[in-house]
Parts: sequence; C-alpha cells; structure tokens
Amino acid sequence: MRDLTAEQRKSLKALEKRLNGRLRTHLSSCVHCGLCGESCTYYLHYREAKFIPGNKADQVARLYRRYYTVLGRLAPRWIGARDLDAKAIEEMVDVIFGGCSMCGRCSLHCSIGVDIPLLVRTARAMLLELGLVPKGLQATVDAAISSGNNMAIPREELIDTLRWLEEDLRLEVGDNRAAIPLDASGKHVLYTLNPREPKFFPLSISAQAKIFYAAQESWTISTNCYDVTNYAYFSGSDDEARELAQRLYAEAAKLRAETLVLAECGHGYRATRWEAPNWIGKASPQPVVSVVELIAEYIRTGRIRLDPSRNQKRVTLHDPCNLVRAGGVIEEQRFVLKRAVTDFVEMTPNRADNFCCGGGGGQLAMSEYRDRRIGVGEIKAEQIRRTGARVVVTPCHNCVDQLMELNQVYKLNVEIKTVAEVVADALVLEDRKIGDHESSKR
Amino acid sequence: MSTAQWFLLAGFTVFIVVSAYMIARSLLGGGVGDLAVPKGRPAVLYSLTCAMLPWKKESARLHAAVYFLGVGYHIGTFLSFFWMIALFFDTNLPAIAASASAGLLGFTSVFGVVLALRRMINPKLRYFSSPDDYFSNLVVTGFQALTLAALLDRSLAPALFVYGGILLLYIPVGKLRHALYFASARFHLGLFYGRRGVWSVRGDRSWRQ
Repeated sequence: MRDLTAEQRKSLKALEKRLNGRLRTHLSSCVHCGLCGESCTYYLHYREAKFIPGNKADQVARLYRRYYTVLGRLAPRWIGARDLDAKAIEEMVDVIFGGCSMCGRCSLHCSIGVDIPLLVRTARAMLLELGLVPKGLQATVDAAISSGNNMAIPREELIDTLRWLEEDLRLEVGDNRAAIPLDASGKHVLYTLNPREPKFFPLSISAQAKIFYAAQESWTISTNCYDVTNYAYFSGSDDEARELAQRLYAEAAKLRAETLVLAECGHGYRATRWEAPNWIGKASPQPVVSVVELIAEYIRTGRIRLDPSRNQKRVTLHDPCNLVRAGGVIEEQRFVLKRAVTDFVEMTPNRADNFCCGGGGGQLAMSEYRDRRIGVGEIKAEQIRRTGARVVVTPCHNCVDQLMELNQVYKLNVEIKTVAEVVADALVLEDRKIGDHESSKR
Repeated sequence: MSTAQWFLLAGFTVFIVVSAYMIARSLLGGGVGDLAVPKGRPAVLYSLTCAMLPWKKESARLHAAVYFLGVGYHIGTFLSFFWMIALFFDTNLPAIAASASAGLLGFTSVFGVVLALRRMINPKLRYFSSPDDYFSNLVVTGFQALTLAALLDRSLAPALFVYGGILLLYIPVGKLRHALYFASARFHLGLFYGRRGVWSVRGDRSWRQ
C-alpha cells in the first residue's frame, strides 16, 4: 500500500468503508465458473471474456484479495490478486463503466448467487475517488446537484411547460377545472417527473395528468424539486445519491404530501424507494410508490375505467431492470396493460428474467460507449421483433430513450410508450365530473 | 491416535476456528439490515432451495453438462469428507457402502479432471482464472482420488488424514473458501430479493389476475 498515490489510497478507502458482511461475502464467493456469461447481454452480444460478469466482479474482488486478505498480501499472483495500478484502473473503467448496465440478471442466474451489481457499484465508487467517472455521467449528476434536475431546466421553463400542458388538458377533457397543481400543500400525492419529460416528451406528463384527473386525485408537482432520476446511483457516489434522494423526501415533507409517487423511471424507483433509506439512515416518512403501482390501484378500486378497444394494436412490455428485478414491481404493469389494450403479448424471457435494453447503468449518459450500448441492444430488438408487437410499453423513461434508438437502428417499426400514455388513451371520461371522488379522497 | 490423526485434528481445529470467524463476519458484519419498507418477506429458504433448481438458473439450464459435472464433483467432495471421518474413527461401515463409494469417487474424480481441463482449454475461462483456480480444482480432485484409494487400501488412511488436514487449512485462504461463503451469499441474496418482493413466495399475488 506504501506505493500507492493519495488518490489510490482514497479509492481503497472507499472500498474499505463499504466492507460490511454482505460485501465481504460477495467479494469472496465467485468460483470463476464463467457460467454467468450467457446471462449477460454484453457477453452474449460481443462474446468477449472481459464481459463475463465473473470478470466484472473480479475487478474489485482482485483488489480486495490483494489488500485485505492474508494470501493476497503474501502471494498475490497465486490467487489472482492485483495491485491498484494504471493497467488495473484502465481495465476497470472499460469494464465497469463501459461494459455493464448493472441490470443484475447475472446475479439471479449465478451458480453461487454473487451480487454482481453490488460489486460493480463498489468498483464505480472506487473509480469515483480516482476522478474517473465518465464525464457525461458525472455532468448529469452535477447538473442535478447544482440545479435541482439533471437537465438543468430553469424553474420558469418548467412552469411554462406545465401551464401549457394544463391548458391542453382542459381542452382535451373539456373541463376548465382540470388542473396540474403546482407546489400545493397537503395533497395526497406529490408526483415527480423525469426531466426529459418537460424537456422532450411533455405528452407523457399530459397522459399522467389526465389519469390523475380521471381518478379525481389530490395531487401536485413541486417546481422546486421534482427530478425522479438519481444518476449518482450509477456514478457510485453515495453522498450525492443521498443528497438527491433526501431532497425529494424533504420536499414531500415540506408540502405535507401523504405519498411520494415516482414517475416511470426504473433506477429512480430503485434509488428513491429502496436504496435511499439506507443512504439516509432512516425510512421515508411517507410511503414511496411507483406511479405504475398507483395506476394499478386506481383500476382495481374502480377510480378509473378503461376501454381497451381504444388500444387495438398488439402491445408488448419491456421490464426495466431496476423497477422489476431489483424493485419488485412486476405484476402491476401487466395488470394495467391487460385492461388497457386488446392484444398484449409477453416478451421471452420476461419479468425478473428479462434482458436489459442496454440503456441502464447510466449508459445513456456515457456517449463514449454509445456504439457498445447499441450493439448490446440488439438482443432486446430481437426480443421485440419476435413478439410481432407494434407498440412497446415500458415504465421507464431511460428505457424509452434506448428503445427509441434501437427502434431506429434495428428498424423495428414500433411505437414506444410509457404505461401512462397507453392508459390515458384508454381512459373512459364521459361520466367523470370534478367532485365525484371528493368523499373518497384519502 | 496416530501422528496423521493428530495432524488432521489440528487442521480441523484451525479450520473450524477460522471458518467460524469468517462466517460470523459474513453474517453479522453488517449489510443485513434494510431500512426501506419491505414489499415482501425475506426469501432465505427459497434462495437456498427452489431458487437453486436447475431450471430456475441459466447457469444450470444452459450448461447442463457442466452443471451435472459440478454437482457430481461436489457430491464426491462431501462423500470424501464423510469417509475421511469414518476412517478417522475407524467406523465399521458395510463393505458394500465402501465399494459403492469407491466406484462413485472414481467417476467424480474424473469429473474433477474434466472441469480442470475445461478451465485449461477454454480461453474465456483462462482469461480470468488464477493459479489458485487450477490448484483448488486439482487439490480437491486429488482428495477424492486419495479417498478412493484409501477405501480400497486402508493402509493409505494416514496419507488421507495428512492430505485432509492440509486441505482443511487451505480452504479458508484460497478459492475453496466459497464453501464457507456459499450459504451466506444465498442468505444475503434471499434477503435482497425477498424483501423487494421479487422472490416473495408468500407475497401479494393479487395483481396476477
């Protein structure tokens, strides 16, 4: 350790700080059987040994063995332990940032059960200390920290967009009282957004607003703190991830919202719903749910009615890894789609077994790996093609971005939609009037 | 007790102490708690049982031959430990059991050699294999072969005890320590997927309508 630079020592400190029983277990469990390769989209597409998940896990496990085990100190080469030198770091960056979407499919199918995304995120945290997070990814985190949203959208611009959408909503539903309430206190739902919605895809906000209108929901959007994404989860920075998640929790508390409802975003759900309590050190004071769960609840309780005949094209569903495999929101979107469309077909494999689209792990923010990301996506493109679907629905804006690109590159000729967009198209509004559900407001 | 038996006993004692420490650190060393409100129940039992079934895991499903070689090889290892203990205590087990075990160990030793060759031949496995990966494979294969030999010729039992003692000392420090961490890795994975409702066997299924 004496030969290491200050940054390298800090990098190892990041590993040491995280070395609890769980991490130690997963660092010590891989048997290098290599059977995980066929569960990884990177390996399946490129067939390069460096993309075998076991090798990704080894990027950090080798350093652990070198600096924190007896044999690693005495005979490092014998057990494949490695110094944290320039060559190791270069390989780590390439494989850990550029060769993994942290989808977790490998863990589910690992012969031992090694939590490889945990190890990859640990490796990313180490690279963060070396200042080696790819610029695009770090810039996304920086924008969220400094401006409050990852696209640095000025507050006035957001308000203008939402006001315009509100007018549009009134015209669409023919009710002047239809609203997109901003910064209102004491509502049942504080709804978050992915900044790419107001920036590029405002119609997905319209769709959700229409659903809230139909359900007579008591809801609001905060114009100060609304970003559901948390790219610090991908950069490996616990401090920044904690800061971003805590802001959402604090905003919900400030506005006295009863429920924090997360927009359709896989990693945002994982970060805010599952990881944040552990980063912050306490559970969220209010329930945190995905809007997909909420929509399913609206349907189940009869708060909204759907006419599936309004969506007659064949629809398939892409399961976002962080919402499904790592988030447990698995059946709700299926429950919704089966009631919102006439022809729903599953991809194979699906649910927790589903393949990543290639856009996870912050890949969309790392332009240097763009070609690799598109190559990996071929597996998803073929999955979609085999369903014969004309519409691909996914409850994740990151996945929407990647799928739209795959749609162009692989000429799939499909529409990519969020769950809310499909549900909004099927909504039956005729018998709804404001006030119908006042008594049922929670 | 013979010197070889004393050696094995010493190796076993060190193994138990070190293993207990490692397992305790794995299970009690943090990372078990989760402050997020759970969606399902911990699925540790499921993780250690049904989730391991060959048709549940691609690592088994897509690699049936390697999977069955691996399972057979591990059965051979457990069988070897069983016989080493039986020989240590000079237990009178039926001759047919010893003969059947010897036959089985013949196969599992070959499985071990095949798995070692696979690692040597496959460039993708070689890419991230260390000398320890090959050594661990061969040392366990040797253990099985020596157990087989000791079953056929009891005069080899002392050699088996010495070999076993060395093996027990090596397990916690090399790749073989996965034997100690396997159950805790499944434990942690069961907690993770169970709480999140992914492996929630008894969780909310009302959406499956």
